Parts: sequence; C-alpha cells; structure tokens
Amino acid sequence: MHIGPPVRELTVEPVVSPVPDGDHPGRPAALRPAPTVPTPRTGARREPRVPTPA
Amino acid sequence: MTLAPDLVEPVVVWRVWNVQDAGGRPELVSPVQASPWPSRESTAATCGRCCGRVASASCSCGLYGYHDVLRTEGDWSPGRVLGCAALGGRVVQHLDGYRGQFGYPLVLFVHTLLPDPRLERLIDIVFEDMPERPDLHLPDRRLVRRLADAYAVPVRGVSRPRIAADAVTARSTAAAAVAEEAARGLPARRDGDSRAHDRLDAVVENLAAAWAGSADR
Repeated sequence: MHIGPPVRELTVEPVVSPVPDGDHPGRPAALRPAPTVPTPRTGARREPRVPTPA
Repeated sequence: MTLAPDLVEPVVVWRVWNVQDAGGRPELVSPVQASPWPSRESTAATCGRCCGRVASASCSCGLYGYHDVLRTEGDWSPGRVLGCAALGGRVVQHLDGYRGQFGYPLVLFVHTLLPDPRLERLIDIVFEDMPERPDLHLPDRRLVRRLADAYAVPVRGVSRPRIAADAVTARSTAAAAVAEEAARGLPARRDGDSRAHDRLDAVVENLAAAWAGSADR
C-alpha cells in the first residue's frame, strides 16, 4: 500500500472507543437488531393462481 | 506531565481485507501482511523491524489506509471486503493516507457476485408456483450477516460494484460522507440513538447506490 511520504505524527485518543464493546464490556454492542424475515411453515404451499375471467 | 491528544475522534481510512475462517467465525485479514484484525477488540500493530515505537514517522510499521476510497477500489475483488476503519493511538499522516497504532473497522462492504437481475426474474417465473424458490444469494447473505455479528458494525453487500471512471466524484463524495458520519456519530450510536443509526444507514446506502451506478443516472 503506497500512501506517499509522511507528513506529520499525531496522537489520537478517541473519546468513544471505536471497538463496539470497548466502553461497556458488560453491555452488548449497540447494533440495530436484525429485521425478522418470515419463513413459511413446513409443508406450506403457495395457492395456485386462479385465472380471472376477462 | 500529560500531553493532550491532537485528535479526540478516530482518524478514518479506507482499505480492503481478505476474510478467513477463525473457528467458525469470519475474520478480517490484512491482504499484505496476512495479519488478522480480530473482532470485538482493537487491532494493535506490531513492528517486524523492532523499531520499538509502532507507527512512528521514522519507521514504516502500522495499520495502513487511504484517505480516499478510490485508491482502494482497484484491490476490491469478489470475496474481499472494503471498508472504513478507525485508527487511533500514534497515527502518522501521509500524503495519501495514514498508518496507525490501533485500528477497528467502522463500516464494511462485501463484494458479492449476486446473479444478474435478469436471471433473478427468470427464476421468479420458473419457480412461481413452487413452494421453495432457490436462494442464489445465500452464501453472500450469510457472510454479510456473520461479519455483522462478529464485528458489530454495519456490513453491506454490494453486488458487482461498478467502478467506472465517469462516476468517481459521486463515489468519492459518498464515501467521504460515510467516513465522516461513521466517526462523528459514534458516540450517539453507542448511546442507542436511532437517528444516528438512520444517518449512517442513509450514507451507506448512498455509497452502495453509487457503486451500483444509480447515483450518476
């Protein structure tokens, strides 16, 4: 990875840790819960389409 | 005497990773040194030359990343992950990027090989009256979900990203918005602020749309 010549050196101390569990090790990471996807029941069958009369 | 830091927000860089299996969990690995970026803990750079002061201006060690997403797109191939990462500790600013002492990913984009939309429509027609339709996306969807679970950061699959020369401004601007929101909104997201999550989701979708080619239509 070629990032060019160095410009300056910094000291970076984030107030909030970028590591999800870094600030509150006992608390789960603050991620949104995944949306639930409905799964069809076992043996469920889609109803065949009934042609509509013209 | 305690020296005040130069920055109290992480430095955000763009880079790519390979993915390896680490005991049933996906793990990001640097493609250059093959060193892992573990989940749920800060990655600490080490120096093979024993400079004794990782990520110093006098050495070349540290975790690398570019300022601009456009520099990383050429290395983003199917199965690889592109994303922005937060760097902290000692950080050396370079002309085109940074290298840092500590790092953790903030947002990840998985290069997927999802089928052509026309094939999807054909499958919809063929399997219309069947109880189960084959899910061609399953392996990629699983990887996206498992990466999100492992690293607890937003992960977005991008199907066949279009890295066209005519839309570089759209992609660069959209990526800069992601990097800014990922760092600025970190405290609010950590506190569970749903608006901060919405803001990050919006800029992530915007960047994904730029790779899909819809932003410049």
